[in-house]
Amino acid sequence: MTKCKRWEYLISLSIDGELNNSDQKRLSRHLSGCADCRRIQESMQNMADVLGTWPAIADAEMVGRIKSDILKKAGKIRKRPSAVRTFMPAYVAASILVLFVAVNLWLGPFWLRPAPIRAGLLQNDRIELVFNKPMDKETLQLPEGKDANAANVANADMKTLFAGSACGTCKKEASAPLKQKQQSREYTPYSPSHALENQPGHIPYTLTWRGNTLLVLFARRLPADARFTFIIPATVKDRWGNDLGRTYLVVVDHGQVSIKKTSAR
Amino acid sequence: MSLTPDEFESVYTAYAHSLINFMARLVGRDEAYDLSQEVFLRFYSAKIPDRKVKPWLYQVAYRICIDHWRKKKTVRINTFDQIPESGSAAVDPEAAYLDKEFTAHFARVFNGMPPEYRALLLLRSENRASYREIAAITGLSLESVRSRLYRARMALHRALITGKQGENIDQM
Repeated sequence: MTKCKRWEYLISLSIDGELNNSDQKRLSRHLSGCADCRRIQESMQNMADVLGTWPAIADAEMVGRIKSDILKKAGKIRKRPSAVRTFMPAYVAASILVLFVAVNLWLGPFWLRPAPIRAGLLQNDRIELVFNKPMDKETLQLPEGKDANAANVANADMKTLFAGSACGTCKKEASAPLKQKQQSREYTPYSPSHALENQPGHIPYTLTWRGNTLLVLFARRLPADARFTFIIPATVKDRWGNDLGRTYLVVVDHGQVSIKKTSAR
Repeated sequence: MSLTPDEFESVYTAYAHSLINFMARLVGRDEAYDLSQEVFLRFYSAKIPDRKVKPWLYQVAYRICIDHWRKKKTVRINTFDQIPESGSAAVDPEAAYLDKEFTAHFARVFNGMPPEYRALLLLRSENRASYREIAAITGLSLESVRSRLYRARMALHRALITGKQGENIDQM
């Protein structure tokens, strides 16, 4: 920038009152000795005066007509409200409902207490036990030290299934052959500590999950008159940490499976 | 609609005349008739806090005008035809004649400038906007507002002296 261009820039700022006192004084001193810059200052001031005072293009009549047109157009827009704006609350509610249903179909209702809701005996070699929601498989654990090839017991309360004996008082029946007990046989569960896996009539089983369904897979077909009970303890949890709250008995009797719930804990 | 009729009336009364005039200086009276409606219709359905109404209106008006000018490129603005008789005619007819002649010449030269520079000069001198307000309306920095105003004035000064337009303001 040449010397006077620097001053020209300051002149432009001074026209707008944007110079501080010291720059204004320096500019004034320069102007007193520079005719070219004085001409430029006069020209810039004239421009500002013309622009500040020349008549308006828009008159009151034009402004009024524009307003009428705006109000007419605004009225037409108001008569045709946006369907989205009108129905937005309904759209939002419907979207939330759809999302809620989708989540629950996918995850299962998280707020409900878990429970077994249905059981069935399939092909006499498996029991299907359906829960109302995804369960925490960790709460149906294998107890430590058990042989994986023997019966897999879900936890201390999931008793080993066997034929022909009862815990405690039935020791005298422990060795009775199966066929002699067929009519009134009750397959009474034993605790794992009794180590009954090798007892006659014992039917090993494994547990596996398919979604919300627990499958008890027996190593061989159950007898048609098999009767036994296994326990789902109250401490079994769903995926969200809610426990069953009560103990359930799954009763198998002559091919029929039923679920019985006991009183809370 | 977000505004009540009274709210719209209050804003329109306060700002319409100067805003429409500003737009007319940039794009011409006929174009400003339609484009200013677009500004106020947008305002009608927007929720603008009171203290931001004026800068918002001018911001939208500025952008609409610049976009329109870029699309059209040749916009005739016959502002000098609408200059009324000067009040000094009764005192000094010659001065009044020269005054009108100068204003017409000024208007011709002014209207030949790019609209961005015209907008800066109008906002400062006609609308009395501060540099900060001009920066907000145009989206420029404060320093850019200062330097562009200087360049616009110098271009206008040279064009008024020489009668030639088309000087590349950006390379001054």
